[in-house]
Amino acid sequence: MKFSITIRIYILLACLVAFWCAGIIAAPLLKQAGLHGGADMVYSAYSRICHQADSRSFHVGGEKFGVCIRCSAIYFGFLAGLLLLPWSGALNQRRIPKPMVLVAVMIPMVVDVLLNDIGLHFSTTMTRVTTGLLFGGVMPWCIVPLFDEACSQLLTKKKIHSPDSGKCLHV
Amino acid sequence: MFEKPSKLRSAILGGLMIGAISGIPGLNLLNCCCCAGILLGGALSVYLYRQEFTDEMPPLESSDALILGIIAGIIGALVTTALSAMITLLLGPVETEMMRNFMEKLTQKLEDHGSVPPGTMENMRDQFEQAIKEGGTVGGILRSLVYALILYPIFSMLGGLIGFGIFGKKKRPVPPPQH
Repeated sequence: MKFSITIRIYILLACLVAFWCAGIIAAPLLKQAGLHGGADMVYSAYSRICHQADSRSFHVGGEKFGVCIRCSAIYFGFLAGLLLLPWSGALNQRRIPKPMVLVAVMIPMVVDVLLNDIGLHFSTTMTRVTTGLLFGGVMPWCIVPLFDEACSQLLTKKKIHSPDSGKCLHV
Repeated sequence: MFEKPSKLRSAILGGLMIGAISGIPGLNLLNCCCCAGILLGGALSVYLYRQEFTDEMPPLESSDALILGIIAGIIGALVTTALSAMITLLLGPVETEMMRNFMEKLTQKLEDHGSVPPGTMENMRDQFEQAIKEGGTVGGILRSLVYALILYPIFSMLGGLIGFGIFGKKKRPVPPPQH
């Protein structure tokens, strides 16, 4: 059975995102299992992209996730969106949503963060999860077709690379 | 047919932005929101690159955005690590204490305001102590560089693709109708 480039790129991406999400849950599980060295390494890696505040994180067996609630919602939303993507047909048709869609799904999350920062509204777990899931869940529809298109362009350019001239031909 | 412009200038500028946001204490809080600083750097490099295109050139492609994001991320990782190491190494004990006091005051203010969750100050204090302890060792700097070289290009690439999605292709001017 031979998969097309699009399917291969999609499978690779899905595996990477699943691995990333597994790491978020692996951190508390490793700590719970007494593997403190491994847990610290995973927490340290995720600390570069998240504040990891205990009061704003989901917990497993008393140990916090690798990232906060909002980040967890974004990443797991992205994974869910990625898994649903082939069913929508967006993968094969390479349909990219309009820029306004991208901006529109960012707005609720940005508003939630900004209103919280200026003290007009206090973010709750529900608002963090809802806005994070919305943003993360829609992102695959915008990013995956572009990523697929970009990888395909690079692979095509590589294939038609001229050995005589040593230059890449743009198609 | 004209060649596409060089990606280096835009990638360096995007990388410098990533480095500045991620390497300067206090400013790096922006990355707590899903690497917003790194995503912005990737998107910025695509935006700047798009500005260099003229009508005669082939259009900007998503593969350009992907490559730009990755290069900006690599430059950003190098700049961030260098900047963090420099700040740690150059700061003497008095300056370190001043920086710690400033960070604690800022975080306390944000905590009182409700912008950051309670306990962030303790977390930041631990991270600051850890950074000071690790920043001075070659092993600590190398470990930081490895993490940054893995994470930054990924997020910067995503930023580049998002930037391509938002800014898109430059619209070519419609020629006036000829009679």
